[in-house]
Amino acid sequence: MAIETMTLFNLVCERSSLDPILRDLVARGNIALRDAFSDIQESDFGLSTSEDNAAPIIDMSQIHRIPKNDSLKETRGMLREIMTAMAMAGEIHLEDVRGDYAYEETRDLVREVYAEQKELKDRVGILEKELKQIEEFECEDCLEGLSVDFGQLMQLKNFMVKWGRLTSENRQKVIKNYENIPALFIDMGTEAASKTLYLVIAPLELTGEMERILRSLKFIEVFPPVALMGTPAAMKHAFESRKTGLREELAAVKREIREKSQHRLTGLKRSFSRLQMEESLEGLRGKIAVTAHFAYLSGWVPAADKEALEKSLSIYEPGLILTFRNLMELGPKVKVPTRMKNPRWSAPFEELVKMYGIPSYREVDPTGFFAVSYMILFGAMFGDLGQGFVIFLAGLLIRRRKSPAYGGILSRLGLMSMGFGVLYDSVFGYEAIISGIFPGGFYLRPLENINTILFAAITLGILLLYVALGYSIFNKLKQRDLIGGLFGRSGVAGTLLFTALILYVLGLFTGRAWLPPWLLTGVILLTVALIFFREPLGNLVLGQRPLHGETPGEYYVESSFDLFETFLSMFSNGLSFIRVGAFALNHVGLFIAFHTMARIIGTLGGSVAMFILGNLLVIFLEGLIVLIQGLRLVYYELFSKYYEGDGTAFEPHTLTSEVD
Amino acid sequence: MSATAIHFAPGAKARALSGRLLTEEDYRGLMASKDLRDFVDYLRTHTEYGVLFEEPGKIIHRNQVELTLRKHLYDSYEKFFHYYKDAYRGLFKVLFMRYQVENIKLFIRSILRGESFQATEDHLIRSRVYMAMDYDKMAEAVTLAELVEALEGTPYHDLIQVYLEEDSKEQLFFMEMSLDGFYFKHLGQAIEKLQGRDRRLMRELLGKNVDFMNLQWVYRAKKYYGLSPELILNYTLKGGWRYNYPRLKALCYLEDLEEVAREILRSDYGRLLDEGELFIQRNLERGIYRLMGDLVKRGRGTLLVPVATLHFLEYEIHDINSILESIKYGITDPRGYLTREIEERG
Repeated sequence: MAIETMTLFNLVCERSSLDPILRDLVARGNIALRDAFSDIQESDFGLSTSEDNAAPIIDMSQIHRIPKNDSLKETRGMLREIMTAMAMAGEIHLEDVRGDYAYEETRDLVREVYAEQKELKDRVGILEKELKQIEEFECEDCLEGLSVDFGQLMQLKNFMVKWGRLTSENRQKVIKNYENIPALFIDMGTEAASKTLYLVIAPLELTGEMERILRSLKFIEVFPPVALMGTPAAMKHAFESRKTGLREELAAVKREIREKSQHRLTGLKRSFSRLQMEESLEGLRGKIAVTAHFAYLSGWVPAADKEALEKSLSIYEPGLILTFRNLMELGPKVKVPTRMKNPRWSAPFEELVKMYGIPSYREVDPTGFFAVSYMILFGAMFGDLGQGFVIFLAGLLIRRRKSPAYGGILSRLGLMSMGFGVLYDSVFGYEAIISGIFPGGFYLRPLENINTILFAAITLGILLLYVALGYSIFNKLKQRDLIGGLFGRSGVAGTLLFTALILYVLGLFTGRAWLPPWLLTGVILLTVALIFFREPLGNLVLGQRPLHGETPGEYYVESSFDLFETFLSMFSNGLSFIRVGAFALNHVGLFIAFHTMARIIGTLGGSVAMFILGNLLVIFLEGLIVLIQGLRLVYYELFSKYYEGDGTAFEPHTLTSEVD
Repeated sequence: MSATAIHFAPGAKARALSGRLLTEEDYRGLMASKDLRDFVDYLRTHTEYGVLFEEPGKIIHRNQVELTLRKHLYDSYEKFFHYYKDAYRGLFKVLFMRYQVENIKLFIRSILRGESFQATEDHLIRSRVYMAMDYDKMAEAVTLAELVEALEGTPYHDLIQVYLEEDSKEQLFFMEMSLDGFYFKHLGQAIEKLQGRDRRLMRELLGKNVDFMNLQWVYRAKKYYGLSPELILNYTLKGGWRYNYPRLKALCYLEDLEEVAREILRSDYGRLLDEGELFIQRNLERGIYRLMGDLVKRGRGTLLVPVATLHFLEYEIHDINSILESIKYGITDPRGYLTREIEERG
């Protein structure tokens, strides 16, 4: 449960070795570049002034960005077409992108192959178009039985002859106004109405008028293969044989394309990896500053990989200056990206933490505590050995099939539910089975111990709140927020106030004074005063001026509301956890209802049905509610105390595998 | 949610919106403005549109005023959109579609007139709610064919492509009718997915709206374009309230224009020809405006309230622009051009 330490590196290299270096960085998959251009402009680029560095430093005054690679998109498009034609799969091989090579070689190869296939591919286009034309015109037994020579029909001199389709709405228009339309509309089909072909014949001098009417009807014209037209029987035969011919020719041409470029296959495969790499690099290049001779890079690398990076870059020396920067000297304005690093048992919960926010580099990764608290809360609310096992299995299934993270979370929650199930002596809602096998007095059946359960829930909540407050104090002090850490309501003063209030309430209930009343009152008054005056007080101690960040009037009005809210939230935060107990009770209560229903039905079948129905309902509905309630407790009652989550994720550059 | 509960929040929103509409007094105030600055000052100090023109003396061009108001209208639509889901959201989506249709019409017109694109750009409301469109590519189009190409991949492409070959003065008209027909068809489909009173009232609104449009179309097509009855009939919109296909057909095949006028005057939509056919477009809008007013009274607690309120806002913005234009051209009494009917004082 930690946040991985990051190091900022600045790198200057010769322009000529930039591409190989970038490829290395991408292949490593653990580097995230920053915008070196703005780093240099804001004098945030670490390059010590020494004789060796003189040339790159002088050059810095002429930095510019790398222009976009205009031909990349086109080249990738060409390669995609080539790959489709040659039935090539897009696989990335890292060894293809290592070492020294120029993008231009790849581009030229792709262009060459494309040009060499062009003529054949055009031929494919023409053949496919003809095939489509026939297929579109053809319709099963449309024209059958007609003794018309359509070939002759198409050659009529004094008539306009068109074929096409109509939507059903427009077909109605024709039908309802047919007496006024100056043309023959002949329905050719028995096929699905929308596909029916119409033959439209009109005197030639009405062509203009008819075309306008056809447009108003959204007539979709179909152009028949005139050369093949004749009597229906002859056409059918002509279509079939032409289609066969076309298909054979298509297959032959396609085969020819493949064979023609077969000897280039290795080169093309390599090109694919290289173009994917180039695409990844395009994204990176925007963050690099260059001059005629040098390239300047700035980026993050996990501290653990620092040496490996140094080593792999050493081959480019001399002519390469790599500096690692001390985070301390960068100051708070540089936002360090974060990568969470957690042990296996808690790692899946990172997903839920991220849903709230990514921890900033300067706060503690809350995943561990999140995992523990969420698991306990869920288990306590949904304690059942059998149902927990179902959830555990569901988690395993989801982990394999869908999402490893969410599956992992679910299976862990299921295990916890099983644990609490043993404590509650509950298997699929049946109490007394576990205790029947392993008798003992340590079982805590919720309904028999209502007060204990509710009280334990609040105690658990208070414990968790203490941990949260501890985190908060630690985070604030780590971020040098002394005022918040010491005098804030989630700081030391707030924690003391919380403790005093708990003791006071405890005293009321037990009738026993846990601390002398004067001490208790004293602590409460003192901490309230500290919280109320925290800003002026803190500034006074630290010797900072002005004492108030805003006008004093505003500050005190705000502060008094803040104080009021502090009391309110301490009260409500604590009580909020009562729901943990309530859900534990509710869980048993629901089952009593189902057991009662089963008894009323009285048959074995009824009991079994009720057992299944009850368990399903409880697992799905109550399980869902408890999942949400647990999350709510952790997010709202605990995270709000100490967790900001305004960090940015460390997203290293990797090789794009998507084709587009 | 129950039928009424769906409209609680948007209904309240609509009431608030209609409370902010201009009064007759405001209309008079705006009409009395001497120039653009005066006009904007009035909007700023007397009306709820003031927030849109906060910086005094900032707005200098008429187009800017118009665009600001249209954006405001569009934002209002979008607000309602977010209150609804399922079929209702679907309906609002279609209402957004009209903006795209109107935008395309603007492009077509500016191309046919050979205008610079800038003039069009100022009128565009770019919404992605219904569907993303590549306005930049459309803006580059110099010919209609290029515009059609820019629309590739949208349902509008096919609608106007067929008219590329139509080289008559009606080309624009056909394209517009085709686009309108498409919009109304989708609107009708969206309305059929609603239920209960919402559907009944929306059907009536749409049906009567379609009647108005069809009658107007038939009259104008006959009078100004002399189109054949077949063509006129084919371009009429489907789903009229009183005028179904046979009645429209009878109307289209009337020989004499006088007879058509008589038939229209006899119908519920006689207002269309008030003050002669020069005002037919205005009369159409006034007719729909009144229709909305009637339906809102009958449709409390239904979808009609937000829909009509938004239309009132739209007509109002239209009127504001008309007043602005009349100031530009020195027309002292623009009431005849407004949708809202403002009585002569005294």
